[in-house]
Amino acid sequence: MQRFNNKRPIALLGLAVLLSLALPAVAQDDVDPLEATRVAFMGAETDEERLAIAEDFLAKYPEHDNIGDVLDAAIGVLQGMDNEAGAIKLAEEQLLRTEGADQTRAIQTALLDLYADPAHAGKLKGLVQDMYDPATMTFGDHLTVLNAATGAEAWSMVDAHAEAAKPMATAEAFKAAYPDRDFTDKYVEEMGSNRQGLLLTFAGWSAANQGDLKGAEKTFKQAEKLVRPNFFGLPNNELYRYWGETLVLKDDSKKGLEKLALAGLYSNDDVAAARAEDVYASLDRKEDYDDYLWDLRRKKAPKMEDFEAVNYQDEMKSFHELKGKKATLVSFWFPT
Amino acid sequence: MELPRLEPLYQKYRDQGFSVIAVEGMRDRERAEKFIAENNLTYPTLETGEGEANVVRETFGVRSYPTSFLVDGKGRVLFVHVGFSEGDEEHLEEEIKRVMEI
Repeated sequence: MQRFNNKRPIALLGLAVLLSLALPAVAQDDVDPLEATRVAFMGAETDEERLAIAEDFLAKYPEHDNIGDVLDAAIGVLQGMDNEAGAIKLAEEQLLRTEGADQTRAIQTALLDLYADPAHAGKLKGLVQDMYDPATMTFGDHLTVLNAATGAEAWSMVDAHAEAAKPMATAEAFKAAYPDRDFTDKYVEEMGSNRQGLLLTFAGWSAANQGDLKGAEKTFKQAEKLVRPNFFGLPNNELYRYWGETLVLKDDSKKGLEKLALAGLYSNDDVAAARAEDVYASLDRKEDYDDYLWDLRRKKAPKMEDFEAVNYQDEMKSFHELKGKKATLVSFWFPT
Repeated sequence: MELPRLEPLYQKYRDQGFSVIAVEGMRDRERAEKFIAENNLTYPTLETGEGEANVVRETFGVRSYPTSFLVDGKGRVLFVHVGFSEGDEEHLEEEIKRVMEI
């Protein structure tokens, strides 16, 4: 799996796409300041220029509906410049400048991500208290907090939210959260179980970080049975990353490495992929890491499922008919 | 954009047993056909179905575009690639050569 850790291109693309979608058609002489900012931002040649353009918008239009998108773009630029402190300062200043409820929530959401770091655990706690009323938190709210608290290594907060969300980790609660959707009973059951698995994943990782490695493994095993698998049969969340890390902490680096590497290969987990490479280096093996991964892929590779879809002449075609004799690249895409 | 960068790889290795299948996941036929024509894509291009026939979402659970699976002759998915950045085609070519053992 390739890693895409550079947040800057994502921010640039994000601004271009999100802001384009957000923009209504406007007359030439009545240009939305957001459109002017988008054009200037995309045309800028340096990070400094891009940052100045975004900051100018943030200062002039603190109540704009898309303030969160512009703030995200500015944060992306600062993170691309390795200026995390600058990103936090910018978001905190914007929070003081903005009053609208929706706009404030967008800025707070950006800050939640920025505070997902052990150095900001105290600030995170205050922000969560400002953002949420415990009595009305949804399952999604709890997950958002669990992710941030895990990043901040605020384990008591993780434990509290994993516990508080338990009553919502049922099929009935999932169905109740989407009253207008017509899900199948099977899907509702799976999603109720998935919610339980997600909470157990966080709880297990919290236990591991508080020294209970045996308890953590037991919890991860339970979670594995509940988390909805992806097409490749692997958990669709960070379970294998945390489980792999726990095994490494238990000095079972070989098994830990495999979990981390699989998460990188088949769960789109770039953090796990990077950790797998580090763990491999620590093992001081003679074999090249790429060769290790290649062997792992050949041993663990999931089978491709045959499928059918129409071509643009409206003929039904199958993977089986179109595949190459030696290799086939199946690319899922949409036109931008 | 990934698809146009796959065309040279398809042309280079098709005679050695390599194929590309592009499956459009949002059922935006008008834009898809325009894109395919403008970029002169010659490999098979398909459109995902509706509801349960939406193989992109229902069968493969793909939520991010582009996502690519590299499948070997035995039907094993040996490489998964999410997103596409400048230079990724070089890495992809290495993977294709490794899977094809050339």
